[in-house]
Amino acid sequence: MTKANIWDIWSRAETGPICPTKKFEIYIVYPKIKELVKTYEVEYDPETIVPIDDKLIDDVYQAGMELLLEVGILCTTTERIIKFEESEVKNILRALPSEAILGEGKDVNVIRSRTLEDKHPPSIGAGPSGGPISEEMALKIYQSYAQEPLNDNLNGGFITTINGREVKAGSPLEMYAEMYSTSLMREAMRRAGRPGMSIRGSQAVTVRGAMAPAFPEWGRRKGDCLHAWLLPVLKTDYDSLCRAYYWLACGYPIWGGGMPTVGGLSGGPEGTAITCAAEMLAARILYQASLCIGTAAHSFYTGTTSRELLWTRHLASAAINKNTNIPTIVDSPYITYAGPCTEMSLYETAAATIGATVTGGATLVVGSGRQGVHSDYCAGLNSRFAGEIKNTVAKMRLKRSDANDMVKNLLAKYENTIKERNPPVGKKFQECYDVATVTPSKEFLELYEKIKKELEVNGLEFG
Amino acid sequence: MHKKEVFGILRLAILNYDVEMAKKAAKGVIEEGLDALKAIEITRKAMIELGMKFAKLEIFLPELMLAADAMDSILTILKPKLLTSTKKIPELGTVVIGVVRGDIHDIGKNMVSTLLTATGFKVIDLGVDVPFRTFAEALETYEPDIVAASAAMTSTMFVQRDLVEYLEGIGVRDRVKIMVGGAPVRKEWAKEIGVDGYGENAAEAAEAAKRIVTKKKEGGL
Repeated sequence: MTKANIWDIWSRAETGPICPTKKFEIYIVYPKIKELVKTYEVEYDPETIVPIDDKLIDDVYQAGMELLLEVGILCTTTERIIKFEESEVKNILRALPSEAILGEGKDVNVIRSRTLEDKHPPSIGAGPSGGPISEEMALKIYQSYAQEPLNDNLNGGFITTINGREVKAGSPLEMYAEMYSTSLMREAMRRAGRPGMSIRGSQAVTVRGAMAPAFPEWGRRKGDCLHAWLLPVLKTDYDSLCRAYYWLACGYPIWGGGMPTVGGLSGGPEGTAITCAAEMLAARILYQASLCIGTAAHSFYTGTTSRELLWTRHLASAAINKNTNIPTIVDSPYITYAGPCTEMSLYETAAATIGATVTGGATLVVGSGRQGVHSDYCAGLNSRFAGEIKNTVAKMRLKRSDANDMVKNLLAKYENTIKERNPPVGKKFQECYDVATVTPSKEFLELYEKIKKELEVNGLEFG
Repeated sequence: MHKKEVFGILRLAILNYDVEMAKKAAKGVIEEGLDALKAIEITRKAMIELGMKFAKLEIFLPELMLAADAMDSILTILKPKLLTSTKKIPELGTVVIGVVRGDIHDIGKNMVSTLLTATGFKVIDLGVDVPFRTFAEALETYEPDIVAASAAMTSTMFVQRDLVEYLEGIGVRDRVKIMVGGAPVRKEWAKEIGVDGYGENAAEAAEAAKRIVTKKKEGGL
C-alpha cells in the first residue's frame, strides 16, 4: 500500500491523452454518465430523499468509480487527461487516513469517517461559508458561530468591502480581505475562548488571494483546512493544482470535491449523484483531500435544500460513506433559500441535517441564508440548531426510512416557496441578534424553540 | 435521401442532438437543390423547441450543446450556398458573451450562451476571465446588439460594474445593450449598475435578450 506520489499523478497533466475541453465534456464524460445511469438503473425517486436501498447506494459507488476510471480528470490548462489505474486508486483509498485532525490544542477536532446510521455524531463546521458579510458585522457574525459549543470549525464569509471599497477578485484588496477575515476569525475564536478552532476554507477566488493569510501573523495555522475544488465536471487546472500543492506543502489538511449541477454537464439528479461520488473520489486521489465534500448545485436555483438536491447529495454521500473510509463533508445546508429567523430556514436546516447525519457524513457544513447572495443573512443560532439535530439523530440511531419520512414532512412545509420563488427574506444578523452582546433576539430564540418542539412531535427525541 | 424527407431529417437531427445526421441532412439540402434559408429556419425552430425543454429541465446542458454543434455543422455546410443568394440568414441579433475578469466559472455562461443560440441569436463566446479590452475589441469586431457579462462570485460581480464603466470610459457604452447574470446577481444589482437586461437563470436571460432586441427593433431603446 502506498500513498499517492502527487508528482507522478500531476505529471500526467503534461503527458496524458490530449483532449479539447468541450470534447471531454460532451463527447466523453456525458455519454459515459448516461450509460452508467442506464446500466445501474439509477432513477430519481422524489419520495425517497434519504436512500434506503443499499443496492442502489452500492451501485452509485460503483458507477462513480467507473466514471472516474473510464474518463479520468481533464486538466484544462494543458487539455490533457490525467488517467488512473484501478489498482492505483484502490491503493490510495486504502492508504489515506480515515480521520482528519483539525484545529489545535484543547480545541482540536478529530473528524472520523462515519457510515450509514452511525451512532457517533458528525462534527460541524459553520459560518457564513462563503456567503457575503459586511465589514461592520463580520467579527460579530464570526463570534456568533465560534461561541456555539456544538460548532467545531469556523467557515469564513466573503467580506464585501474594506473601508467602503468593494473587494474584487484578483485585486490587492482581495488578498487583504482574506488576511483580514482570517485575523477576525481568530479574534472571534479568542472571544469565545476557543483559540485553537479550525478555520475551514477561504473566500478568495484567486489562488494568490487564498494563499495570502498563510503568513503566520495573519493567523492561519496548520490545523486549518483549506479547499481545492474540481472544476465541473471531473476537471482541474494548474490553478487548482497549485492551490492543492501549496496546502499540502504547508501541511494544511485539504477538503475537496466537486459541485456538479443538476441540469448541467452531469445531466439530471441521477447523473449528478454519480458524478458527485466520482468527484469525491477524484479529490481524494488528485488532491489527497483529507475531507471530501458531497454537494451539488441546481441550474436554476442557488439554494441547496430542494428535493432534487437533497436526493442527489444524500445518495452520493451514502455511496462514499458506505464503501470507503473517506471522512466526508456534507452540505447541511450550505445555502438556505430563506433568510435567518424564519420557520423555513429552520425547516431547511433540519431536513438537510437529518439526511446528512443518517447517510454518514463525517462533518456537516452549515452556511448562509437567502440564497447566499445578500449580505449578513447568516447567524450562529442556525448552527446550534443543526448541532442539536445531528447529535439527536445519531444518539437515536435514527433509521434511514424514518429519516426519510421526517425529511419529506419538512420539505412539504417549504418546497412550494422554492418553485414560486418567494422564500421568506428573514432577518439580517443585526436584526435577529443583539449585536453588542452577540446573543439571539427573543423572537429568534422563541422561533428556534417552537421548531424544535415541532420536530419533537415528529419523532426527534431531544434532551 | 428523398427530397421530401430532407427537412424532416434536419429537424430530427437537432431534436436528437445528432451531428452526423445533421451533416447528412444539410448535404441533402444542397444535393436536392432545396431552399437553404428554409432549412435554417427549420433548424432554428427545432433549437427553440429544445431550448424550451431545457428551461423545464426535460433535457440537460450537454444535450443542448450537442444540438448546437449539430446546428453549427448545418450552418457550415449551407453558408456557401447562402453567400451566393440575396437572402440572409435570419438572426435575432448578435450577443458577445463572457465571464468577467477574475472569474473562471463557466457553467452559467455556457447555459446562457447555448440557450441564446437556441433562441436564434448569433453568439460570440469570449470564454472565461475575459479582460475588459477583449470585450471592447469584440464590440468593434462583431458590432453586437448585446454584451452579456457573467459572474459567479460576489467579488467578480463587482467587476461587472467596472466593465460597464470601462465601456463608458472608452466611449462605446451607448453603442450596445449590456446584460449581466450569475449566481450572486440580482435585479437590484443590475439596476444599480445601469445595465439593460438581467436574468435570474439561463432561460430568463435568453428571454431578456429577446426583449431587448425586440424593443430595439421597435425603436424603443
